[in-house]
Parts: sequence; C-alpha cells; structure tokens
Amino acid sequence: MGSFIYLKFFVSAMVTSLLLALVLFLYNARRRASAKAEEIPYRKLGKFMIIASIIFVLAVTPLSVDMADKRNPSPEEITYNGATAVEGFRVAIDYNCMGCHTIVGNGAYYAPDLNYIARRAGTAENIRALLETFVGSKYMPFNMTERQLDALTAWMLYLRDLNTNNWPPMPRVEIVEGAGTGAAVNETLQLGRQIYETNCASCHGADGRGVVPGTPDFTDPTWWDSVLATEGFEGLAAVVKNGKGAMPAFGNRLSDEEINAVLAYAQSLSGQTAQQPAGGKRLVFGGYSFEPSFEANKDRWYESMGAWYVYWVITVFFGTFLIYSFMYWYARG
Amino acid sequence: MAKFRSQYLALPFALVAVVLFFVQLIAGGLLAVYYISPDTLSGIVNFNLLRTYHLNALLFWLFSATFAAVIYAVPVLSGRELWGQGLVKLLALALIVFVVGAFASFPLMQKGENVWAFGQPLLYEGKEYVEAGRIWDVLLFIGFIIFSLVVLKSLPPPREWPLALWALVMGAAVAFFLYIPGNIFFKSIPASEYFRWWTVHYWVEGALEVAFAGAFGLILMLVIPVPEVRKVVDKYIFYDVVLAAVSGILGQGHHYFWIGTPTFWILIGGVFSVLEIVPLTLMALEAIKIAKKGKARFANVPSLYYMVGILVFGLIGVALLGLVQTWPWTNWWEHGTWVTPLHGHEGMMAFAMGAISLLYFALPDLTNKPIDRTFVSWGKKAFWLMFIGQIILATSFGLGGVRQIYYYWIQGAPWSTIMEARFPFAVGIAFGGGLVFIGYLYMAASMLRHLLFPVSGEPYEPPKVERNFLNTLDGIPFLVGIAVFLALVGAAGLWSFSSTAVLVHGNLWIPYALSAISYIGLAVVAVLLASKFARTLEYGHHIEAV
Repeated sequence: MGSFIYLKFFVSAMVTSLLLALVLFLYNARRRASAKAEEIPYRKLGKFMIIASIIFVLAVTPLSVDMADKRNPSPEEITYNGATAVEGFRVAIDYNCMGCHTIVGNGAYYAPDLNYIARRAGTAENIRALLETFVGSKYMPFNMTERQLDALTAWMLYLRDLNTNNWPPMPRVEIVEGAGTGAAVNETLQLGRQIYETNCASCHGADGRGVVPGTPDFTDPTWWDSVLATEGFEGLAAVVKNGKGAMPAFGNRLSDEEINAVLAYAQSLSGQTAQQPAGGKRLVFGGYSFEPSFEANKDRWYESMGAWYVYWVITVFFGTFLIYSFMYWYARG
Repeated sequence: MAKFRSQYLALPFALVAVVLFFVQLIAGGLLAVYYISPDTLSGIVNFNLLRTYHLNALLFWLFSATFAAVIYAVPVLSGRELWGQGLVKLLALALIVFVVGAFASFPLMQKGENVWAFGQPLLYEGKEYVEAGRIWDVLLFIGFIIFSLVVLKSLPPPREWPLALWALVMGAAVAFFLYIPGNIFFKSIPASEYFRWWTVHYWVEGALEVAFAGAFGLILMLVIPVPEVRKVVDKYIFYDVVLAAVSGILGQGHHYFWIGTPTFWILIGGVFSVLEIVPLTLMALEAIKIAKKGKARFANVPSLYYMVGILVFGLIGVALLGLVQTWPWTNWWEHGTWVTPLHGHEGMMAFAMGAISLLYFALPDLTNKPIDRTFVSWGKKAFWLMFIGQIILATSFGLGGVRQIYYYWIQGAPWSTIMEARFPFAVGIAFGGGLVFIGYLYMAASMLRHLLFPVSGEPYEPPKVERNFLNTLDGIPFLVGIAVFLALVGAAGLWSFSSTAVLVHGNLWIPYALSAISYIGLAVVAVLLASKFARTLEYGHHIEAV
C-alpha cells in the first residue's frame, strides 16, 4: 500500500487542487467582470450551509449516542457485586474523578486516563485491587464505602469495554501461541521473580539496577527498547541460555519457559508491565504496536484505506486554498 | 461622562469579573504548586477542587464581563435608557448568589457529599467545565433569560440591526441555550461527553468567533462612524459567521474521535475542524484592512492592546495550535496529554483578553476621567505580562506533553515516570503563571485607580517613535505564512510518533525537535505579531501608511 499512497496520493491531490483552484479563479474573475457585484456575494449559499450543517448534526445525534446503533455496552448491564456501572458513574461525579484523571481522554491530565488503566488492569479483580490501593491514600484522600468501590469497579469495567476507535495507544503485547491467560500472566511474573531472586539478583541486583560493573540497568526502558530492537526477545533468551562474557550459561538449569518468565519479570522492572493477553497465548513484552488489546476495538479505521481518503480530501482542500490564494494575490499584485 | 445613567449598571458586573479573575489566578497558582510538589496540598485542598475553581471562575468572570459590556453598549446602540433596570439589579444579585452558592458547594466533592434528585446532581457534578450543580444551573439560566429579555426589549426592532449586532445576539443566544444539553446527567459516557461538548465547544464557536466578532464590529462602527466601515464590517461579519458556523458545527467532530461515538465522526471532524482556522485567519486579515481605513488614532490604548490580544491568540492559540492537534493522526497521540492545555490555555486567553478589552473600553467613559499616562502604561504592562506569561505557560505545557506522549502511550511507563518527565516543564508553567499574575495586579490596579481615585493629568499622547519592523504592519502576511508553516511542522512532529523511526528505532529527537521548533516558533511569532499590530495602531503608523 505504501508506494501507492506516496506516489499517486500526492500527485492526484495536487493536480486536483490545481484544477479546482483554476476553476474557482476563472469563475470568480468572470463573476467580477460580468455583473455588478452583490452587496455580500454568496449570501444565500452561506445561509444554506449553516442550516444544512445544523440539520446534519441533529440527524446523526441519535446514531452518535447509541440510541439508534448499539455500539457500546449498556452501563446498566455491567455490574460488580450487585452494583451497576451507572451507580459507579454517579460516584465518579460525586468525587469529581474528571478533575484529576481523564475519561476517554477528557479531563485534567493530572492522573492517568481511566480507560487506559481499566484496559491495563484487565479484570474486575485487578481494578478493584487498584481502587483499594489508591482510595484513602494521599493520592486519593477519600473515604469510600465498599459499595462505592464496587460501583466504581463496575463503571471502570464499562469504560474498559467502550468502543473508542482503539484509543488510547497501548504498549505492545506480542502474542505467541502457547501458554497463559490473564491469571497465568501473573503466575509467569511470580515464577520469573522466584528465578530472578535465586539466580540473577546477586549480580544484576534485586532491583534490577545491577551490582557487578558492566551489567545493564533493567529499570531503564530505553535499554529494553534498544536491545529488543537489535537482538529481540529470542536473542536475550539465547544470552541467558548460553551465557555471555562473565555471565554463566543457564541453559542446563532453566527450561525455555522459565527463561521467558525471568525475562518477562526483568523487563517488568522497567515499568513496561504486561496487559491482559488474549486467551491461550503467551505474552512477550516490549516495543509498540497498534495491536488491539481488546475485542470490541478490533476495527482500526485509523489505519484503513478510509483514513487515506479523508487525508486526500484534506490535502486537496488545503492545496486548493493555498494555490487559489497565491493566484488571487498574484492577480491583485 | 456616559450618556445614559443605566450604563452605570455595568459596574457591579465588571467588579464581579475582576474579583473572579483573581480567584481563577489563585487557583491556577495552587495547581502549579501541585505540579511542582504533589504532596504539599493533598488532603487539604485536592487537585480536582482547585481545578474546578480554576475553570469555573474563568467561565463566570467571562459571563460577568460580557454582561457588563452588553449593558454598557446597549443604551448607546438603541439611543435610550435600558428597559427594566430593576431586573438588571436583580440579575446582579442573582449572579452573586449563583457564584457564591456554586463556589461554596464545590468543596463538598472532597467528601463526595452530593445531593441527587430527579436523577440529577443538585450541588455540583464532576464534569469538566460544567461543574456547577443543577440548582446553580437553573439559577444561571434564569439569569440568562432575564438578561436576554432586558437586551431584546432595549434594542431597536430587529429590522434596523446591523449584521454585527445580529452576530452578537445570535452568538449569545447559542451560548445560552446550549448551556442546557451539557448539564443533563446521562448514564452512558458517550452520550454524556457528546452533549457536554455541545456546551463547551459551541461556547467557543458561539461566543468567541461569532459574538465577540460582532461586539468588535460594533465597537469599530462606533469608533469610526463612516458608512464605508459599516459595509466592510457587515461583509466580514457575514463570512465570519458562515465559516465559523459551518466549520464549527461540523468541526465539533474533532471531540468525537475517541469517546465511543461512531467512526464516521473521524471523517467529519477530520475534514471540517481543519476549516476552523479559516474564519479566525480571515478575522485577523480583515481587522488589518479595517485598521488601515481608520483615519484617527484609537485613544483607548489599553483596550486596543487587548483587542490585538484576541486577534493574536485567536490566530495562533485557537486556530494554529488547534490545527496542530485536530487531525485524527495527531489527535491519536496528543489526546489526553499536556499538549491539549497548550491549545486550551492560549485559546481561553483569547476570550479573557476580549473580556478585559471590553472592560477597559467601557471604564474611562463611565468614570469620565482622562486616559492618562499611568492608566495607559499600567495597562500596557499588564497586557505584555499576561501575554508573554501565558505564552510561556502554554508552551511549557505543550513541550511537557510531547515527552508525556512518549512515556505514556509508547512506553506505557508508570505514572511516576510521566510526572518526572513532565517536571522540568512544570517550572515553566509556574513561571509563566507568575507573570500572568503580576500582569493581573497591574490591570486591577489601573482599573481600581481609575475608578476610585481622582485622576488628573493630560490625556495620553503616544510619543513620536521611529518606524521600524516592530511597530509597522510590514511583512504581516509573511509572518502569518510562517505561522501556518510552523503549525504544520508541529502536526508533523506529533504524527512522527507513528513512524518506525520513533516506534522501532527510538529516534525521539524527531518529534521532540519538530514540536519544539513549532511551539517555540509560534510563541515568537505571536509576540512579534502582537507587537506589530498593537504598536502600529498605538503610534498611528497605519495612518501614514495609507
């Protein structure tokens, strides 16, 4: 698709803009020359455009708010421990969550986006655990009842399941056929931690920052990015297996699965933790992709051909505008 | 001396506006404390409470200042005293009750003690920009109705209105009536956000692009009473309204990309929101044209400076910084980060400057005191401090936001990392905010001095200044072209986050450098443009130029 877009795209957009600008210019020139100018040219067209756009917005409103087209889950149907998402939204309004967090990206940017958190946490249990950790702490100094926490959990599940055209961008989860669903990811990290602490911590440090000179800083996300870009996950696994420099080989002590687990744990020290993988698949950390994290969000219009049509129209518009204003300016001197 | 006694009814509204502006800046300063030291105020005054004050004080003081300006202007336009002066006094009272009531109920959000009735939150609600609860909303809406009644009864019959007045009235009506949908409680987030943007977005469109354009058209017609000016103003108001309405109504779609609304909004929003820069650019260009027609200096220099402020913030802050982030491809990355308040702060400052300009315009006439040297020099200092302070503040937000995009969306780093990444820019935010605050002190001092103390002394006469690049209109189209180019560079900077160069090879310097060039470049162009416009008009260099 790449070459098609970059060649034909710009050429066709530019040619169209040039033609449009020329037509506009000639039309206006004739208009100015022939008739005595109206007091305000295009008066009727302008009024028509205003009315047409108002009618258009009113017409698509039922579609947009899920009245005509069921695009999103119903907040009344999502519950946790008997509390519905609607109840949760009321709690969110009472405590003004939007005054620090963002919801679907709108809000205060002082704390993380709630859809993002909900999707990273994945399950109701994880969301509930997060709420229990933070509500009442210095970050969220509120006294909430258990019922309110349940309601907020349900509401965050609703936020997780909204079809937001796949926004927000999520760190990549490379999915490999094999082992592990949600709970298994935590098991993987637990296993990785045990192995790390018995085998690796003496040189690499319990916190991953390295004790022996020459060891990398596992807490540095940029180190992971560069090493995953150059050697990849498989390359790292080979280093653990066969050893490198002063590092002994672990291939005879650890299975492949254990090596994957310990690498996943080591990478999680950098903050690049995992999100929920799709069922029956193993998780590999690092890098970035638009891979949908989430079933309802599979359509990525953003990257589709349709997006390029929009882009073309915008380019033509701007091209026309620029070329026309240049012509106009040139003709006026 | 003001010609009509009822014009003095504008004073209480103006006073409320100036006080609320102070509240807004104090709340903003405390928010900056949060950015620099997150633990200091936590638990005492929570961030969300302060932010609620910051936003609502802004909205209410803009409303209040607009009321003041209209009450001042309507008797002049209609040539007789206001109809229903008792109602106006009631309105002033209602406004104070509304503000005090709403502000007093906000702290309840620290404990979550709201009252619900008829499925609506009564005291306050946690929805950005429309935090006032239902009781206060109803009160405010009654205020709107009283206000509309007074204005419509006082004005001459609609047949005789110039287009500028039509624009003012229609813009205000839109802003008033679309206050309703954003304030209704909807169970679903897409519906709730969809209608909230009706309120918030159309306030900008209705109030800034239409009503303010109308107000300044009217001022121009009052100041330069030449029939030719009325023709030019009519024409530009018409195109401005049409373009603003079409691009604004459909460009609304740029708020509907990721909130759970259908995908077709990406197409509509992506195409039409880009058009939103056109009316604002047109406004700027037409303003130069009209300025060149003026055969005299505009005596009220502070008001003039703030009018230039609307123009420049409208062009750079609203239009071009909006253009940076309105494309679906760039919005994907910047949405939900600090890049948005870059646009928000400069855009809102356009409103604020408009309101201040109207206050400055009305004040000397109401007090019947000369526009003396001190008034002008304090007003100018206030303008430059606010203008440059706000630009520093907004640019810091933007640059911090670009770092946030990388750590947040690409790395998925924990929130503490993002706070650390943004921290250096929080210092810039605090510094810029400090400048704005000092500017406010100058502004308030100049206004109160003029209002309360005797002012003697000659009217201000601008000095003879040699013409140079910074005080003539030379090269404005070139600068505007540069600004558009810089905005496209900024868009490329945000878009480059999607490239393999950044995602795979980690060449972060590409988005960082492009964004820095764009945001800092636009800041410099804004200062240049403001200087050129304001000083040309002040020194009268536009007169000789024609």
